[in-house]
Amino acid sequence: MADIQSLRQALAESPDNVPLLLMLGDACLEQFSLDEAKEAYDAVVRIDPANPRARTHLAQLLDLGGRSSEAILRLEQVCGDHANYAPAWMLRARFSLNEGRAREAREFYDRAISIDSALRNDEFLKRIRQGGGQRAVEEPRDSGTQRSAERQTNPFFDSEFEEDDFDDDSLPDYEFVFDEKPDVDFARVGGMESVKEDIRMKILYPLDNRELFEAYGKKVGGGVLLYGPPGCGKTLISRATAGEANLRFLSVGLHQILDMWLGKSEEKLHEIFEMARQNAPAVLFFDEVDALAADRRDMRSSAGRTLINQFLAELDSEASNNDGILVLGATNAPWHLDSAFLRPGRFDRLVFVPPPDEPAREQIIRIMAEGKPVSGLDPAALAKKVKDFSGADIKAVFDQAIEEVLSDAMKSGKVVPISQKQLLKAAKNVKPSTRKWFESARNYALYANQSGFYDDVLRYLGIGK
Amino acid sequence: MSDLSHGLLLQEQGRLEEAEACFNGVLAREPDNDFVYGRLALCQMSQSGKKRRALDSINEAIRLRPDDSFYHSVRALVLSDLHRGTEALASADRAVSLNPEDSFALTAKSSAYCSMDLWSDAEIWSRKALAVDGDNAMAENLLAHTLRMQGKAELNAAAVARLLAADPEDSLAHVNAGWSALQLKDHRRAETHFREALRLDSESSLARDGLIESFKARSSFYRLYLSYCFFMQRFTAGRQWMIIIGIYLTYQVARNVLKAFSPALAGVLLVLWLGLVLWVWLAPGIGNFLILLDRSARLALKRPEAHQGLAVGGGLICGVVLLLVGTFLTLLPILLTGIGLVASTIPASIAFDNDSKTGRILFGGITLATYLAVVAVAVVESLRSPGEGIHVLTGVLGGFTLLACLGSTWLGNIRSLRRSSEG
Repeated sequence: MADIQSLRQALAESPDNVPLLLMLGDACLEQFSLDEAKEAYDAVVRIDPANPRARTHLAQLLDLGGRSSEAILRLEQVCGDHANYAPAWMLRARFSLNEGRAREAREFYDRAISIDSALRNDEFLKRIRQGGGQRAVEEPRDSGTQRSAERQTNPFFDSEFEEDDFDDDSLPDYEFVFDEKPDVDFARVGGMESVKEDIRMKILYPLDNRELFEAYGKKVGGGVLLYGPPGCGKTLISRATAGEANLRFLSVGLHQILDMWLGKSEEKLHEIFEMARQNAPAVLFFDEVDALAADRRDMRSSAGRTLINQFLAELDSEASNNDGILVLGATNAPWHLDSAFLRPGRFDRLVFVPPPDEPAREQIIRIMAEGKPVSGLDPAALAKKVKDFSGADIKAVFDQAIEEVLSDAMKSGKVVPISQKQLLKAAKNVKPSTRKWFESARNYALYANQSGFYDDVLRYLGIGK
Repeated sequence: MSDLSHGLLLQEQGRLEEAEACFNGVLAREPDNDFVYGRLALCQMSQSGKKRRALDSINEAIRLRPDDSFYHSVRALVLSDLHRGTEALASADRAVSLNPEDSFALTAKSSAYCSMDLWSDAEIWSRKALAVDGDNAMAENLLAHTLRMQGKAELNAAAVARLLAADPEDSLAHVNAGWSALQLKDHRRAETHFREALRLDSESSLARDGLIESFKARSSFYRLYLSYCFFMQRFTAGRQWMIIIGIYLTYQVARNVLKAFSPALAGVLLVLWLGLVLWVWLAPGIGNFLILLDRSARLALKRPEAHQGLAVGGGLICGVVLLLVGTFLTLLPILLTGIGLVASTIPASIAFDNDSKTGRILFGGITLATYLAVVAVAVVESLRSPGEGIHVLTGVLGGFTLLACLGSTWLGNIRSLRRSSEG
């Protein structure tokens, strides 16, 4: 936690700096300087009235001040306005438990960790359960005697199962919510023109010319696989695709599907597809799809294979009517995908998402610099120096420069601006993480490219086979 | 899904780095979980540069559960990879004593013998492992390897055929088949197997190394060198040294004897000897140079291999051309530059593609010093008038440089200067 005095001094120089105000509020809250914390959060709300973090903490402060009912009301509003802000749900769970409503607390807790699994808190969960907040009992798939063998061999075996036989706490109940109107479109994604054009040709034009497509007996929708190095905007471009096509968007994470109970993962997957069918036209986005669509040769356990078979069936079996559903999958490791997923009717269109190009890097740099005391920033010049950097790498550049500046700021007690020179210096020290990905991708492109899957990678690397 | 389940799933899929992160996450919460330490060690031992960490992890697992044969077997495998044969054998013995009927422990013992180049012992223990579990692919692969190393071509071919019949999609089996074909001088079949191995596992360094060897073996010059390597690798390091010293002593005796009868023949023997030394040392670099000339094959080379090819092949060609030009035109600076460049190819052949950091620094330093000496000598001699004789600096620099280059042929036989200590 940053030093409160330094934060105060920094805020004196930059009084409307929201991140600094939040840091000060958090620091004061931690030290139980409740009045000052409230001042800081109030200041945030004045500048940014919708800020969920400040509003959540204000609710917490109200509760600490004994005004629980008002706190609950305020928190309900935050949850209503920001349904995906996990800390608000977690705080609601705490309020509910304090009010003796353990079942409701459990509901909110599960909701919070379904949004952000990092918030898991076993101790708190234990308290909820002790208060009567269990879920319905389900039949475990194995008897206790089989468990030690299972522990050695089965990747789906959960060690926590031993401790908690009758309450599946490792995963939340599934609640999937469609993002009705993705707030991102191509205009808000800087650069990456070649990727956008690729998506227009492979996804958007077919959607716009539905009749033309159907006249040729082709179905609109289907599956598109986005692959490329990590941190290069696959998820963003997927959301932007949905925004551009003005379709509903459902992002599905691995943790929302995989379940220790036999058959449960398949059931969840089916439910997701059914929901997408009911909400068609829609975009169904699977992040880290390689984990769900892994090569069956790599799977020793039949549980994993069943899930893969289910996924294949959902994508294109006779019984599955996926008209109007666009299934987007993103992966950093396309080589781990089962080849069955790449057949026609499944993920039969591929989009390679390379590291951000220069205009994209420039935009990322501008975004990173927002709200930070940066002097003499020349995004174009910096973008030139961070070739092959992913968004995460560019963030690392800023983090490193900030660390350098912070030590000076702490010593002088004043906000020391980050200079372009420091950013350029940091850019030299950070190695692009995409290189490692390309080392692997190069091997696959050279030796396992029988179907031309990696032609785009070869082109990007300037290798003509 | 817990970190443990996720880690096991990732490990099963061969995504070792990600699996390692999951296991570390579990260990942060459960620091006394020997099972996870064991899994972590397995992940780390299969990644380059992480063998020492694998050893730490498996040592921790053994500390928590000292009587588990599986952990001692894994430790033996890690130590074998680290070329610490004696310790590996001790661990394997412990594993076998804890569970004498465990095929994995018996395989670990075979692997320990392999790391000590004791091929016949390794063969015995891999056969024992297979007697317990006929489907043990690791033992079958080790058996094929040990048979090949002993030059038992027919038995090796049979073992490879068994491996491929059991699982035609086993990358390691194709690697074994590739090496078997190379030993039989069938580089085309070898290339097919290595390509198949890479298709199945594109990140297999064993398969990539094999593919490069099969490319190099397109030249009969390199096939001869490979035969020499296959012959030498049957022996332990000590015996290899004895053979080298034996050949050298034979050469010295023969040359002294010949000197008394015919100095000309002694000179021919000297040239042949130097040719042999250069051939043994330069063949891999020249092989890489030849690959560089092939537009498609060169893609398989890593940067150090390409640098080696350029320094050795390029250095040799330029050196020989300058040497001939200098000799025919009697231009001393050009002649000396040619000699220097030819000499530089010896340390350069082990300066780039060398797993040992010390080795890279040492031989890279000698190569660089040779280049600098070549430039200095060329400049000094260019400034002198013809007929003035050789400058004293040329004598000193040239003498030291040539000695260092020839010394590289002896130093290069020290295994620690060629192998990574990091594993």
